[in-house]
Amino acid sequence: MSKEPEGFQGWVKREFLTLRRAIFNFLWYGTQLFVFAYGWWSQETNVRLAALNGLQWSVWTSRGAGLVLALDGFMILVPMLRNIIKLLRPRLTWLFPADENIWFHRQVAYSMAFWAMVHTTAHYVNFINVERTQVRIETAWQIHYTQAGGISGHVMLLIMVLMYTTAHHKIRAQCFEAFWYTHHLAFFFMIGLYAHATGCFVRDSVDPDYTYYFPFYSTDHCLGYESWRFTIWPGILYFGERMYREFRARRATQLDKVLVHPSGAMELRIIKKSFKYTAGQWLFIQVPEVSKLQWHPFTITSAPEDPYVSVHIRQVGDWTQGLGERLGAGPNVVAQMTKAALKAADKDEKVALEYGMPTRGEFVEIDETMNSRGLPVVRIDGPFGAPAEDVFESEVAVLVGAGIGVTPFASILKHIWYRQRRGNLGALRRVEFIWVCRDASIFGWFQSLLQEIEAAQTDPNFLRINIYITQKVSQDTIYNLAVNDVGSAYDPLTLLRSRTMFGRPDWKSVFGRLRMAIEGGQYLPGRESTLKTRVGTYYCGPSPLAKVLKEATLSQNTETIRFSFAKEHF
Amino acid sequence: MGNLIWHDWAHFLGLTSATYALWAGFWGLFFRKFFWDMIGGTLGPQGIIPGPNSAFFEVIIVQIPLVQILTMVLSVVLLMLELPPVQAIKDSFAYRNFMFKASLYFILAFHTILFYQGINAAIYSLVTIIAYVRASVRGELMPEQKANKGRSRGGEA
Repeated sequence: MSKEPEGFQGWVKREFLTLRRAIFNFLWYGTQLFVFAYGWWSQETNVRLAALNGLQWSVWTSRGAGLVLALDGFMILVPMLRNIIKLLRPRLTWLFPADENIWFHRQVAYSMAFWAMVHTTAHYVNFINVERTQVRIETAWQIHYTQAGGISGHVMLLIMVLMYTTAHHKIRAQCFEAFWYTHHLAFFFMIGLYAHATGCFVRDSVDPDYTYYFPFYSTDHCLGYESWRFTIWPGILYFGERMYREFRARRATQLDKVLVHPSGAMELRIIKKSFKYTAGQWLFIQVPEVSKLQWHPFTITSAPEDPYVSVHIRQVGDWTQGLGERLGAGPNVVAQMTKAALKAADKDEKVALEYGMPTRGEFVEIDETMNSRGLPVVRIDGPFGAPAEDVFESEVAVLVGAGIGVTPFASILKHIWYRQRRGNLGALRRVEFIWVCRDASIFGWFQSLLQEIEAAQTDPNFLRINIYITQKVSQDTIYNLAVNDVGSAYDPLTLLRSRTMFGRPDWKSVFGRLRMAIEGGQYLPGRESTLKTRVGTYYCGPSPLAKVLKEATLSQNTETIRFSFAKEHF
Repeated sequence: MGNLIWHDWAHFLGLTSATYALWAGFWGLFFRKFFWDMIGGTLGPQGIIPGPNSAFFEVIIVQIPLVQILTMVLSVVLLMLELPPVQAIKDSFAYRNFMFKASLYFILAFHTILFYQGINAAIYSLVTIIAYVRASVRGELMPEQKANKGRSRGGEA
């Protein structure tokens, strides 16, 4: 796809030659090194801790690394404060990409693993030297396994091993539950972090100076950094967020309808009056009958104007299959339906191609009467993520979805359609929708949605749909397509008016042509009335393509046409 | 639990345990201590004076850091099994056999539990063993092995 240099060269280019990333690296790692140096220095020069300083470099190292770990323990929860981030995002987009919160969470975790290694190694040297020099009358194993610092440290390390190993994307993809449950060990991890220094190891007295009131040691002699006073705040905020989310999730929610599409996707239509969202956001859904504890993230596929909130769920994992079974549309049922629908579609496709809008079979509606147990209780939490309102600030919106990344655009396209009907499009004059995928058929539900939107267009120039199929197409299919394509009003593959293209799009030429069309004046008649034409590109999908797209869009900037690029997350 | 592929998880646990053991063995060379020397030992002015029962371990851990060296060698072997640097290892049965790997981690745990720095490595190795045994009991196969199925190469793999 892209000709990114691999290996070391690629790493240097990515981390240091990209300005934003270089600034981030400088600030993030620079801060950590500075904090480490400060922690080291403040221990080494503290005359009250002269006895401990007899341990020399190992105690300076452990104290420095400990202070960095306090910083990391503070930062690790900050990117997970989803509601607060959602509030702050509109004001802070210029400063940092708020959507990259999980990425930042991971960077903090990597740092934490490294400094935990430094800190623990140094402490293993410290304690063996405490035992050997008897600076305090105690043995190494007692410090490790009978004192608060040692116990909480070892527990935190074990929790980290379990959390990190199950958070690997391979494990997360095959068993989200293992990741989900294990990551809640974070609760005990944070308790361990706040309690780590309560043993009063850093002191100038012979014995720990314990008290009978909170925090149960006196700061006259316990000379730690007292970092829990800072690190506890994100913990409290996060706990509050989880409580708030629980409260919000429990507000009246009703599963109104379940539609099973011939492609196998289940559409859940949920009614929740208190749920306000904008196009392009996502939510967490919970079905207590399938799992009491699990929340699963899905992109919202309805527009804010719709009277319901909908999500499209494909039965691919344990939980989604369980949900299918519960709704009476398990994998077997869906497989049969898909088959039947395809057969029926084959039969009347020819007729339909001539007399109206062709379909690939109808969806089946499941309602309370079909299932003896009725529809299950559902709860939703959210919305989260970036609202796509900025679409309406540019004259031309180029929406690019790759693979599964197309889902947020369902909501965005519907929303655009609603606003178009109300004549409230803002600056928006034209929409180019580009969908790149290996094989369009697995997103059958999205196709039918596109069909509806396409059919509802009154201005033939407003929305242009471009679909690129990247899968290798067999010779037979090519002949088949060629025969069916000629003279029919709809594309034989997608059943859209727009024709499907094969292979990967050449982005440079796609945007180049767009620029030339705008400059030629055909594309946007009367665009001279505004001084500058804004072309906003919104992309959702895998990140390697994002880089290529960004370069392709920004390279087209001219005096009068401003191209911008934004990556959506889901 | 779900579609968790246990040997994939065990792989990450194994990498963690072996890396920890390697690092612990390295530091064990410089700060030599038999972890269990408090049993029968007394606290003197220079730390624990080991009791007579610890004499053997004092020889193989403190006088000659034999256990630490064996730990480091075994960790490197395990790391090479988890991330094979050459095709020959990938083709060997040791790469595919979960019970064999589990038994190697057991030997690793047996060594690391003896010296001061290795206790955590022993605990993580035990978790790794559980995951590998579980993978073996469930009859999981390495992807290479699955691809081999039905190919007759004189009963190999």
